[in-house]
Amino acid sequence: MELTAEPVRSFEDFYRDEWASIRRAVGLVVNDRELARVCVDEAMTRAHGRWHQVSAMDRPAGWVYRVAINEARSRDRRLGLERDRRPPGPLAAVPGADAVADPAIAAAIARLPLDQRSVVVLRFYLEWSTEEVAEAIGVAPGTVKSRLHRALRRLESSLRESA
Amino acid sequence: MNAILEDRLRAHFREQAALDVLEDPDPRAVIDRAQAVPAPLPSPRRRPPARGTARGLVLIAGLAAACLLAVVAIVATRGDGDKVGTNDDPDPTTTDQPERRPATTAPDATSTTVPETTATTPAGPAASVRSVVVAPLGVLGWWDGRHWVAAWDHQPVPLLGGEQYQLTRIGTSRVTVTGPAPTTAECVDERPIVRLDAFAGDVDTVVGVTGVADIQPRPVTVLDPAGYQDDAVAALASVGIDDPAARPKLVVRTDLDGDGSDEVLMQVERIADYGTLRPEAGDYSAVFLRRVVGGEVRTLPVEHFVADMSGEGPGYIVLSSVVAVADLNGDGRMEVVLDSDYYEGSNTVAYELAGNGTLVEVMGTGCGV
Repeated sequence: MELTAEPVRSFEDFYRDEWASIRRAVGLVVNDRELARVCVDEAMTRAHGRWHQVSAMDRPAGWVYRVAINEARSRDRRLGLERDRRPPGPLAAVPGADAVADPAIAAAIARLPLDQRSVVVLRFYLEWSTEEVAEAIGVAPGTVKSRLHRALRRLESSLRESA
Repeated sequence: MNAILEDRLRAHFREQAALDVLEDPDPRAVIDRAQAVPAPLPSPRRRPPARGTARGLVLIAGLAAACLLAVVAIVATRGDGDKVGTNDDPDPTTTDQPERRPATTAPDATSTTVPETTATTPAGPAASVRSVVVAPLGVLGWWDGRHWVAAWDHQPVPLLGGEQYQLTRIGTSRVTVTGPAPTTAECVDERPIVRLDAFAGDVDTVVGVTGVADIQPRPVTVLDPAGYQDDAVAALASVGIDDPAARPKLVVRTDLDGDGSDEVLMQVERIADYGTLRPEAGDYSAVFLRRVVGGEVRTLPVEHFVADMSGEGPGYIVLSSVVAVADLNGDGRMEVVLDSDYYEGSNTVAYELAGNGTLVEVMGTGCGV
């Protein structure tokens, strides 16, 4: 089999195909629509700068997602907006959007730790498999399963309390 | 119940996506921006040197080469692989590191074993490991009883899981937690990490230490920065930064080495855009150590970086922050941990107070792309 040096998909095509879903996913995880926009733009910029490497990955979207989340964490810290200073109560699933589909579940998701929220969004919004989620966030599949299990338990508990 | 909840989650996300109306994706804007961004750093491990430290690095390289030759020569004659060196440089402007060992492993009086700023101990768990230091970005390294060992170079790390960690960060109380077994960091590079629950989420500025009974044998006090404004201006001037309006962001006082005389760490910065850390004219970041040497106060830079707008500079700025002060190896002397951020990565680095009064980097970790 002949190896090709060219990316199998152009950056432009990747961007058009994946940008919206990554941006929405990051927005759901970081709970901040504007922060998601900035961080995904930053991650996409970096992906473009090393597209030959990124496009050769099994799931370039996972790489972009991870870089965007890392960027969001970093910005959050630099700007002194650690999560514990944010209101812990119910938040809109996507602050900045006009409406929330399911306010109870949005509030429960917002209460999850970021790592658990991340696996919930990747698994149930992007519909990635456990293995794909694991690759995207750089942990073992078993870790994804345990985080997901804990997240679902916490969600159940939150929903019971709010019912 | 889980199946119902999962269906509800999917439905929520589906409806939410429909509500979250986005503009049409336009890769052109990102491509234009990418072409205006400076080239990425090769690795967070090779941290960009602070301006003004080039000569220092040359000096360090020279000293390292000399030490290496000395080590090779002595090892060749002794044949036992002990690390050796000299310890007769009192010049505080150098980074040559004097011998120091924890009280638990007191050296014999005739030993010439010395200093290592980078570890050379063989990899893997060892009975001699005394303490291990972790941070949210990864495992920094450990103390093997005689030397610092950087986790970056020596894996696997000597942890099995179930270790008790004392967590500390500037300005907060210490807590003790139990850690899981180490795994691989969520980063572009493969690096060891211990995922303490306390590290989850957005908290990066925490350091965990296992294997040390009391990581803060003396108080670590955050002072009012206003009292150090003149000192900050003078310290900045000493490294070529002119900012008469400088005001420290953080001032910490403690007795690092337990000699009864306090040291002061001073973090000073002027950053126009904390969000991107892309430099603008006049931006700088610096951390200084003030200590009494021979009866007089000396202020030495630990890390400093100045924006270079000439177009020939690196095109980025590094923001240094004091994260923690703690005894990382149980010798009764406290080390200093700094965090540094640049536009596409972060590092956490531990420094120890060398006998010549300087803070010397001993181990670190980081994440960047």
